[in-house]
Amino acid sequence: MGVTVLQHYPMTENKTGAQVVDLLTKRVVALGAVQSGQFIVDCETYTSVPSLGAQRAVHVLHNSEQPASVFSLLETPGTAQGANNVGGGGGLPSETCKGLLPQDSAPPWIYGFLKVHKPRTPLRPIVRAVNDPTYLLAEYLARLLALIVGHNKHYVQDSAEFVKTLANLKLDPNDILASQNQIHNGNRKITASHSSSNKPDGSMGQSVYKKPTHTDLYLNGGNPGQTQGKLIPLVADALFDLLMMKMTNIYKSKIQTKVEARGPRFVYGGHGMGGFGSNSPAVEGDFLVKLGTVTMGTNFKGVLIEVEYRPCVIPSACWDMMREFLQGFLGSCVSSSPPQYLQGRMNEVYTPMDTIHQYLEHFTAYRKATGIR
Amino acid sequence: MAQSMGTAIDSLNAAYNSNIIPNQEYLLQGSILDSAVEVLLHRLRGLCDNVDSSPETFDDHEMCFSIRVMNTPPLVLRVRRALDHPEMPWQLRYIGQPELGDKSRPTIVRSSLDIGTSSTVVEFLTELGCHLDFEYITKGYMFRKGRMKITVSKIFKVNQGNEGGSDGSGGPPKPLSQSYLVEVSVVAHNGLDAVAEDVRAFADQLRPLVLLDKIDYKRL
Repeated sequence: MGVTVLQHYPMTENKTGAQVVDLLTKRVVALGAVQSGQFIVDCETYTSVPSLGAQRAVHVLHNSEQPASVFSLLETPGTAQGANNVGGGGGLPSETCKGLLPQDSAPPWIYGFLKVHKPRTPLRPIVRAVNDPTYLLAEYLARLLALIVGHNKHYVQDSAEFVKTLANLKLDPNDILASQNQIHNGNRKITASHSSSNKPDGSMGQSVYKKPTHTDLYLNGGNPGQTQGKLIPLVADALFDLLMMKMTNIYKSKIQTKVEARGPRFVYGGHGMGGFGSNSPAVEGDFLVKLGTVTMGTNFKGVLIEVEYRPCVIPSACWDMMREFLQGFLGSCVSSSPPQYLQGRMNEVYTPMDTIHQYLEHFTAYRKATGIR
Repeated sequence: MAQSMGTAIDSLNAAYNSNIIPNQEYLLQGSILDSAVEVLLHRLRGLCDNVDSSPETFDDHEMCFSIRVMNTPPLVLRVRRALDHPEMPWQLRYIGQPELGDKSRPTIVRSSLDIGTSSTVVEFLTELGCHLDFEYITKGYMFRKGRMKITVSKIFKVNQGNEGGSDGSGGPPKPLSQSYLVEVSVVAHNGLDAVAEDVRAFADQLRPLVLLDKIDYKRL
């Protein structure tokens, strides 16, 4: 395990992907590297269904270098839209925004109930707002607010408490009492069961693990345009894939966006005697070079080169040498500064998850590219 | 060298189809009063495989999460970590609906997936959209008998007073009851119903100290 740098190799118009990989293979072999099998890194992305609220994405990656692990990165809302998108939906994913627009809406209508138990049987007017143009928006906001329901002084738990509240209320003759019922169609009435105050068992409810979610930030942070999504890493064993299959009605994957990089894997360095303590030069070496052909679905998207320097785990200590090595066989496409992702972590211990982060960044760029990148 | 490499999903599917992934749990449960637990432990030490060593202890914190979308049954996920071995991986566990079956079926059968994970799993699940339903601490002893796992454990409440402490410590946890939970289980692959008989036979050897049975949670 060492430090890994991922490098995109720009395609030229007159060469196919196979030709580029052939050319690079010749160069790497000319350096003295020895092929040592194949490698594959793949990425599948699952997105949450709209009814779960703001859209989230789970990127599940596998790396043949760590065959017993599954790497997942959960992308929380905000990242995709950037911070300066207040006018265009305030950081909400575009699908969510689309879902908040009026759909097949009707104007609210007013009707009345006769209060037969009161003198002169007055009419109690009721405005039915279900399916009115702002209904979906209000429903969405109610879901966000559900988190704080039960935590403020305006919250009324049930009718008994409401009667008690009313008894303590002094009303002037000129005051007007307005009431609003929030009743949803179907069974999705928003109640306090989302809050911690009335857990059925009463004892083990709220935990010490409650982290502020993006909605908390939304409510407390003031400017919703500033909500930044984040990537939460999770390393799990291979059965995690089976769990994702159990969640297919909540998180769905798109087969067409499955990306993978695969190709030959070379070892280099260590002067024929392998790296530390190894007796097989074909297995160990100071450098590991992987020439990846990137495909999305069945379409060729580009060439991605991975170089790992194995004797070191601190990027800042070996970046200059790795850059020279990369430039040696790739030429001018290698920039003199470290990859963006590594720049903030140059002095930290490098882990396999960091490689996964780099792959995801590149895969996302390949997905966004319309043709070959 | 030139042959192409299968993806991780391919090999997982191959493992799944050849029935080597343990995904069914056969389970019996019961309880025993604190005053009698020593006798049970003695008997288990005699019956089980790790007879020469003292029984293995554990001290776990378990959190139960659920995620649901409209009109579908919730998906329940449990996260467990060893309080006495903080360096060990955390465990994420999926447990399906228990099938009790009729009288002829010796144990509860439920689908189960045990996944070792990194410690980011709680934040991961929370942001995934899961709600924490409840959490508890379970302490006790674990025995092995062939493929069977036998646990004798006490359930404790997680202290509510220490909002700041993220490790659930900071004051002795309060026991939930005056008894120990006893579980006998085997996790095996699909269609290996013969082990259920072994579980039942073993459970019968613990009578009359503890009566292990198929517990129907819906009727509790």
